[in-house]
Amino acid sequence: MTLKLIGAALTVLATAWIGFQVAARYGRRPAELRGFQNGLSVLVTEVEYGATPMPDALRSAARAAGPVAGAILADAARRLAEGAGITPGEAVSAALEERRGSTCLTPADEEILAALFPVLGASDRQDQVRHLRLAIDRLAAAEAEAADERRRYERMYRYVGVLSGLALVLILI
Amino acid sequence: MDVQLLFRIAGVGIIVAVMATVLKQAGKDEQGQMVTLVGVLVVLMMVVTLLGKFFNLVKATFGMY
Repeated sequence: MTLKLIGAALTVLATAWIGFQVAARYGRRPAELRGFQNGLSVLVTEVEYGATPMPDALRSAARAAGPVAGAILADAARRLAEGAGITPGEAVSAALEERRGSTCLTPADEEILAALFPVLGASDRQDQVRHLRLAIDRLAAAEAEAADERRRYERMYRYVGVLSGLALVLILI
Repeated sequence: MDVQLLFRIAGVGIIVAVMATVLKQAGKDEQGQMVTLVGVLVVLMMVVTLLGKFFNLVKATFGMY
């Protein structure tokens, strides 16, 4: 009887944990998108008014971009500083590639960033700023959509996790 | 025949109902229906064994072999 009770508790805990993890992904995506927007805004300033070298520009963007997006931008800055002959776009692309599993970005979000890669640090100032502004606008739209999804699904996944655990226990007991 | 099975069926019913409501509120109507269907099937599986026992009892009582 005690063993059954412990097993039941473990089952409910496990499914509840899965539910909370899935829900947390919905919570993190808007924050990450917001972080990228902040980082790109700093990059706009650096490109437009500062004409800062790209590694330094990426580093200061990383400082403004929050934990996840900041780590990616800082990684890109590091790659750019030490890697010979890669463009800033390639550096960001490689950094993003390396952290694909640990971010909550959807392929559509990565597509928005990928549109920047050929331009970043490789064309004239107006062109870069125009592309960066466009990317910020599209990220803002994606963030609104992500916030909407969060509102709808975050709580649902928590409930479903706990409830499916209870159902499983009832069926198996 | 134990009462525990009745309670179990009732519990599954309550949980399935709540889960279907939650899913429906989140706009996932299809998944809600799927959960309801699965709940019905699970309960049906439980009831089918009881029904089998019942029919066997009827056969035994009236000697219909």
